[in-house]
This record gives sequence, C-alpha cells and structure tokens, in this order.
Amino acid sequence: MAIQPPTPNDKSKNTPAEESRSALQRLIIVLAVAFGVIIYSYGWTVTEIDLERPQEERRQTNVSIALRELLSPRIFEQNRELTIYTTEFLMDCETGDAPAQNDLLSGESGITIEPTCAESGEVVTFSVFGAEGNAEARVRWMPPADDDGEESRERPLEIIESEREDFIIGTNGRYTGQFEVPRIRAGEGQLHDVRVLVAVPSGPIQLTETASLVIDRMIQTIFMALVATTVAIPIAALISFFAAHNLMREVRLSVGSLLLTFIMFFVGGYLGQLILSPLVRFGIAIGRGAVIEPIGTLVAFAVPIALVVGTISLLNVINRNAIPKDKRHTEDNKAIQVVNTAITSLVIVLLIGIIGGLGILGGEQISNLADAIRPDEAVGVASVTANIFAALIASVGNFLDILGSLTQLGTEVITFVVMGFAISGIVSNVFGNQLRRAPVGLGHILGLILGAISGAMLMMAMGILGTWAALLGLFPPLIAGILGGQALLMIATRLGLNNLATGRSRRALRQIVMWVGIVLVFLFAYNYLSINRAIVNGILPPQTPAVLFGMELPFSDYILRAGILGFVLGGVAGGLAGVSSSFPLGNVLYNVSRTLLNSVRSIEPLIMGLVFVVWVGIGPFAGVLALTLHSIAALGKLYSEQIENIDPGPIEALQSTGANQLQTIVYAVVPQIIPPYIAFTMYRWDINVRMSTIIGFVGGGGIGLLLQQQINLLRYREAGVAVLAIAIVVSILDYASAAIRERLV
Amino acid sequence: MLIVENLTKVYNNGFKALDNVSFEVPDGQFVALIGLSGSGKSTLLRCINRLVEPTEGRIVWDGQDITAINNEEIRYLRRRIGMIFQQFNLVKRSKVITNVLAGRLGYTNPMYSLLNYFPKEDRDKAIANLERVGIGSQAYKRASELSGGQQQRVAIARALMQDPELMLADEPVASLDPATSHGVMKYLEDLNKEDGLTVLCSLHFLSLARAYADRVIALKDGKIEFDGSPAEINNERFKEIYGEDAVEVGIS
Repeated sequence: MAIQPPTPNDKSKNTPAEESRSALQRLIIVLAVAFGVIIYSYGWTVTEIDLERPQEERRQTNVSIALRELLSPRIFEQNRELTIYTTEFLMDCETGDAPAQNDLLSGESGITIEPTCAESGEVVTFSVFGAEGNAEARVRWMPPADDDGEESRERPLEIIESEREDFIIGTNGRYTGQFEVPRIRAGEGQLHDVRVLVAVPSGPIQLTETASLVIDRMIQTIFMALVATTVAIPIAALISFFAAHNLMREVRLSVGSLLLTFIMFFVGGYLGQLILSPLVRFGIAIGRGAVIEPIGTLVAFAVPIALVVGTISLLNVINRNAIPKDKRHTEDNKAIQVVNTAITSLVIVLLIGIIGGLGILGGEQISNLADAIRPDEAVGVASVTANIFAALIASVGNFLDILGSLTQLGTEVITFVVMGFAISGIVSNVFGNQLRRAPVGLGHILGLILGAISGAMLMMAMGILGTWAALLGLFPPLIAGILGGQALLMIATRLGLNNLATGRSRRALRQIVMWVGIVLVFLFAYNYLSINRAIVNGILPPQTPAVLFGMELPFSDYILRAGILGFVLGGVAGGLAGVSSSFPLGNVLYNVSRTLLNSVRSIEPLIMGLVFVVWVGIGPFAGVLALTLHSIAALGKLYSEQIENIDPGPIEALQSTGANQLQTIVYAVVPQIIPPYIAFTMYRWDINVRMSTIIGFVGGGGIGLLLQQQINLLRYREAGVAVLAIAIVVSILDYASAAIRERLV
Repeated sequence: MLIVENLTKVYNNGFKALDNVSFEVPDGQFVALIGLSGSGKSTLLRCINRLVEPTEGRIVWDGQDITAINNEEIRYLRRRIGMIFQQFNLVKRSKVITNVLAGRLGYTNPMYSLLNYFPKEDRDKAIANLERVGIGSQAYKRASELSGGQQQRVAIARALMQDPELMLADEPVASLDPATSHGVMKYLEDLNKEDGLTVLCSLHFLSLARAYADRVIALKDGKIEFDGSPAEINNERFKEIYGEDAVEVGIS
C-alpha cells in the first residue's frame, strides 16, 4: 500500500507512518467485514433457505389444512341424534316401473328424488324437507340386498355442486342438491334406497376422549417434571458446594493426608462392604418386622427410636468434654473423635437399613389398607370416591416401598461410602499431624511410598473405567499426563527453574514446562496402553490377562500397565513433593465437578431419554430419569453460581471465631443461599415441564408421546388439543415461577 | 504480649501489602492503626488471626509462634481472638441471636451445631452479651432489620461469645455516622478498660484515635511510619502519614 505524503494544507498532524497504519486498520476492518459476510452467507446456503418451496400451491394447501385443524382442536363433543330419510329409486327406467314419488305434505319431513329412475351416470336431483335447520347431513346410496339376502354396503354420494358428501340443511329445513347415479354391478332393474342422514346435536356437551386423555397425560407430564426436579435437588445441592470456586479455593490438604485419605477411603470402603453390609441387611430385617414375630412391627418402630435416643445420649456423655474450653488447649481430642466417628457410622448404617425396612413394611401395610378400602365395583358416588381414595393411598404405599427397596439395592454403595469416609477420616485424623511433622527426608520417602500406591490405585481404577468403552480408554493417559506434568514441573523446580526468570515470565515458564510434561507423558501412555487401536477400531483396549513374574493376575494386561504407570508417576510426584507439602484439593474438586456438570449439561435430555428408553422401556419413567440427570447438572451449576455470589463477609467472620469449615458453611453460607436455591428450583421445574412435554417424542412418556402419535396419524385436530394444553400449562407455570422468583430474589 | 517481627506479606499478584513490620503490644493496650486505604492495616490485622497467611516474619502472641501453627491449632487460636469488621459481616437473613451464638461455634461440638443446638449456658451468655451492648430486646429480630450501629453491636456481642483476650477491629466505624461511631467505640473502650482486653483497631479518623487509643501505629505503603502516643501527632507528622495534600478533618 502506498503511503500518501501529507499535503501542505492537511489539517491533521498525522505522520505518514500513523496515516498508513490507520489506512491499514481500515483495510483490515473492510476485509474482516467482507469475510464475515461471506461466512454468514454460507449459513443461508447450508440451512437450505428457499423461497420457492413455501410458495408451491400444494404445500400452501397442506399447511393451511394442518394449521386450520391444529387451531380447531377437538376438545368437546356432543351426542348426535341421527334421523334417516329414505326414498326408493329404480336403476334403469326401462326395466320396470319407476317408484312413486314420496308425497310429502307441507310440514312433513322427508326427501324426494327427481326423477325416481335413471341410468348410471345420469344426474338426479334430491330435496330434503322439514329437517332440523342448520343440521349436518350427508347423502348415501344403499343398494338392495343381494340374492343371498345379505345386506350390501352403504356408499357415499358426491354432491355435484360442492364435491362433498356432507352438506348443511338450510335454516328453513330444506336442501336441494344433485348427484350422479353411481355404477353398481348388477344393479339395473332393482330398487335402490337413497338415504339422507341428518345429525342433530342433542344431550350434554362433553369432553372428547382425546381431551380426557390429554388431561391425563398433562398431569403425568407435570408430575414427571416435579419428580425429576425434587430428586435432583439434594444431589445438585451437594455437588454445588464442590463446584463453587469461592468455597473450594482455600481448601488445601497436605499431600500426606491426601494420599492417606485416598488409600484408606478405598480400603475402608472394601472393609465396609464386607463388615457393614450384614448390618444393613439386619437393619432391613428389623425394619420389616421380620426378626421377632409376632411383635415384629412393634420392634420395627421401637428399635430405631431406642437406637437414636441411645446414641444421642451416649455421644452426649462422650462429647461432654470433646471440645476443650481450656484456652491453652490447641489440639482436638483424637480418641473422642475416633469413637464418635465409629459409633456414628455404625448407627447411621443400621438406621438406614431399619428405615429402608420400615419403608418396605409401611409400603406393604399401606397397600393392604388400600386393597381393603377399594370397593368391589365402582358404582355410585360413594364407591367412586372410595376408589380414588384407595388409589391415592396405594400410591403412598408404592412410594414408601420404592424408597425402602432403594435402600436394599444401595446397601453396597452405602456401606462403601460410609465406611470409606469413616476409616479415611479416622486414619488421617490420627496420623495426619504425625505425617506433617515428619522430618524432611522421611517425608519424601513416605511421599514416594504413598504416592506410588495411590497412583497405582487411581490409574487402575481409571483403567477399569477404560475397559468399558473405547473413548473412556482416554482417561488413563489423561490422568497419567496430568501426573507427569506435575512431576516434570517439580523436577524442573528442583533443578532451579525458578531462578531463570521472575514474575510473569516465571509463571509462563512453569506453565510451559508443565504442558510439555503433560503432552509427553500423555503420548507415552497413549502408546504404552495401545489406546490408538481402541480409538480407531472402536474396540476396547487390549484385555489379555496380565502375567507378572509368571503368575496370572485376575485383571487384564492393560490394567496392569495402567497400574505400573500410576505407580511410577505417583511415586515420583509424591516423593518429590513430600508428605508435608500442601495440595490444592479444593481446586481439583472444583475443576472436576465443574467439568462433570458442564459435560452432562451439554447433553440434551432428549438424547439422554433415548438411552434411558433402551434401559427402562418406553414410558414416563425413562423421561423422569433423563430429566433428573439433566436437572442435577443444570441445578448444580445454577446453585454453585449462587454460592459464588454470596457475601463473603460472614464466612470471614465465622472463620475468625474459630468455627471449622463445616460450621462455617452451615452458619454463613446456607442461610444466604436458601432463597436463590428455591427460586432456581422453581425455574428448573418450569423448564422441566417444558422439556417433559417433548421428551415423549423419544419415548419418554407424558403428553409428548400422545402428541407424536396424533401427528404421525395426521390427526391434527387431536394434536391441536395437546398443543393447546401444553401452551396453557406452560404459560401458567411460567407466570407462577416468575412471580415466585421475583418475591425471593 | 503480642510481638510482630519483620512481618511481610506479598499477595499472589505481587502487591506488597506489608513490608518488614515490627512492633510489640503489651497486654491491655488500646492500639489504633491509622493510614491511608491500601496502607496494609487490614492485612496486618488479618495476619494476626491468620485469615491472611504472612509471607515472611513471625508473630508471637502469649508465647506462641502463631505463624508456625497448623490448621487445627489456628482454630483454637482464633477462639481467643475476637474480630469485628467494617461491614459487620453478619448473616443478614439470620436472627440476631443466631448471629451472636455463631461466635461460640469454636467451643461447640460440630455435631451439635449442625443441628443448630447450643447449650443453655451459651444461649444465656448470648442474651447477656446482647444486653451488655444494649440491644437485648432485639435478639429475635432478623439482623437485616437492625440499623448499622446496632448491627456492629451485634458483631461485638458475637466476638464477646469467644471470651477473647485480644480484639481486632477492622475499620469498625467506617460505615457509621459520627454519633453511632462514638457509641461503638465506647463499647470497645469498655472492653479494654473493664475486661482488660488488648484492642487493635484500625481507624480512618485521627480524632477517634486521639479520643480512644493509648497508642497509634501509622502505616504507609506497608511500612510503619509512626509509632507513639496520639498526642505526638502534630501537623508535620500528619502530613508524613497521609501525604502533603491531606487536611485533618475531625469527627466529633
């Protein structure tokens, strides 16, 4: 581009360099706009926008019919009384005498035909007299019974004027129209009937069957949304704390405590399944009243109450001096904490079992009660009411039974989690401080050992996940890469990386070193674990049995390799860090939970619905599961953002009083987030109602299923009822949830 | 005795909030911290109860090196140090009594406090402390219904629940009007004179420091600019602390 020398009378004092730069800037802007227009235009092509198609006459007719029918929903109906007027007609006048014309007196109702005989294809005129004004009517041809005396089928006739079979009687009760005599095989010389059917609406106006069905399904839909939302609330609320940056930022743990907790969680979990599962089953047996017959039910209620009261008083005695009031005291009483954890976890597990059993017992009892109430036959107001009452009670029984059975199904998980937390809590509580105070050399050796064990466990767990599907096989190399990046960074720091630069450039340098480590180790692990084959061929990672020192191990070679990688990398990272260095556990938890929430949230419930339909079959249950999963992710994100928005002052104030983290959350965070949580839950319910109206399209039940069926059958007037119902319910809920949110936020 | 030795705090973004600060405070003294915004007053106070981690230096209080203790020990330390804030830092939606009881959480078994249970002696103590700061009748109102001065008094009552030996006050009256400010400062003076608490209080107005403090420590850009009795601050010293253009305005 040529640089224009400034003219003498140029008012601006721009130097040529500035001038050319602004010219260049302008050129760049023009090019960018042109590029933008080109890209945008491609969008119009790729979306096949076409002005011809909507103008085609056939399409216009179709859409106007479809729209008209959608906008004429078949909501109400009325019984019709059908009046049939008949007259005789001779086909082919030459074969006999034409029948006499109906002789109608004035005021008498009936039809006449003119002429009363004709050949096929000739046009005749019929007239209706004295019928109900404005009534709908249609004209039919009834051939005579055949030789065997079998009644023949009525045929529609087309009125020449309107090309339709049906017509409307005039307000004076008369109608005159023409039709062509139909061709009927072997009909010549026989007397046929011409009939006019007049339908007069009578009786009460009722909802159509479609409308009743729509109401039924709409209720189902609203409850699908309600159940999905309520089930999602506690899970999302729990996750939201881990996905809130302001709470997690400061959570740090020493590497020693972390590794110890990690290892002991799985050890404890394993032990928990072994030891506590019978306890849960015993609890369920007590709860179901199956332990001591016949007073089992009494025992079922008495035992948990006694257990709770007993435990609370026991803990009360133990904990009277748990928190030393003495100012000089600087350490928690470990023994009391251990006893507390042990007693609490045992009692919790037993109580969960008993409550689950009580649920099953209650479910059975209530179902029996419902059966007793339910009348044998539903006639009359009293018995219909009793029936509804019984159905409602039965659903309570069913609900309790499902909750109870859920406990039974979840025994393994519950015991794993409870015992895992208990054991890891106890061990890190007792040994955490010792680890922290370990001398430097020992600290690194302990770090090496604990790191190697944890690394191997983590990578093997990831490996087990990876053997499930090709894409999940990427997890082990990813985790290995992250561990490797950290390890390389620590090695580089030991070698004096921080002396090379300061401030911002040091941080950049550290980032680069870490990423080099991540990529290198990822590639190595990817290769070492032969992930390529899994990704390309869509098969699972190699699963030949592992052989170590000539012994065949109970897992695959792939998992062994993952374990070795984890052992080495975890050992290096742990050894370099040492047990007393601090680990940003909060940041890791934050990132993991955010990633999890975002990735689950990015999958639409319709797609989830497809998978759940495969699992639990077509119906509302599949829809509820899909909506629940999506709601957990969406609510988790919304909730965590609310936590991030709270006033940090009270948290700081409570920390300064010496409250622990849990107390700070309960007293400073929870009161602040309750109103926004309620508001966002309402908002989510609103969204869920909208989603559940369409989740039926993939088989998720609710009104969507009905709507899809009607559309597929081209019954647009029936579909219109469903569309109308959706519009009404969604707008009411929209308004209601907005009003409630406005009050709360 | 509170001993601060060569205390330095550099934040992650490279800002040096405290630069080699050293001083000693004997028990029972009322110390006012003055200085411009950003001079390091809040950071210094928060280093003492470890809400902020010092980068270098030591703080020794009552013979204990509080820069070297672990999280568990920090909690036991914080029980003995009350703190009040410019924005009061009450949970606005909670009741006044709940806010006050929250000051006792360090002494309460976590399992009980999760169920919102406090021993009767603590509840009585909360009422007594509220009465001491003159708002016993407001105990069951929401904190947000109280005026600014009353909220700060709730915050003092909350700190009193800890039975503190040291009171940190971070601009306790900066969001209050002059009359209310004196009310709040009077309660701090009471705690100092009657209960013998050591008070470290950062203040914006020199006139308040003159009225209530035994000693003034002035910070400028993270360094101690002045350390002495309030009477020693003349116009020249004032300009050194606050800059050449500053003019002293009073709060009466």
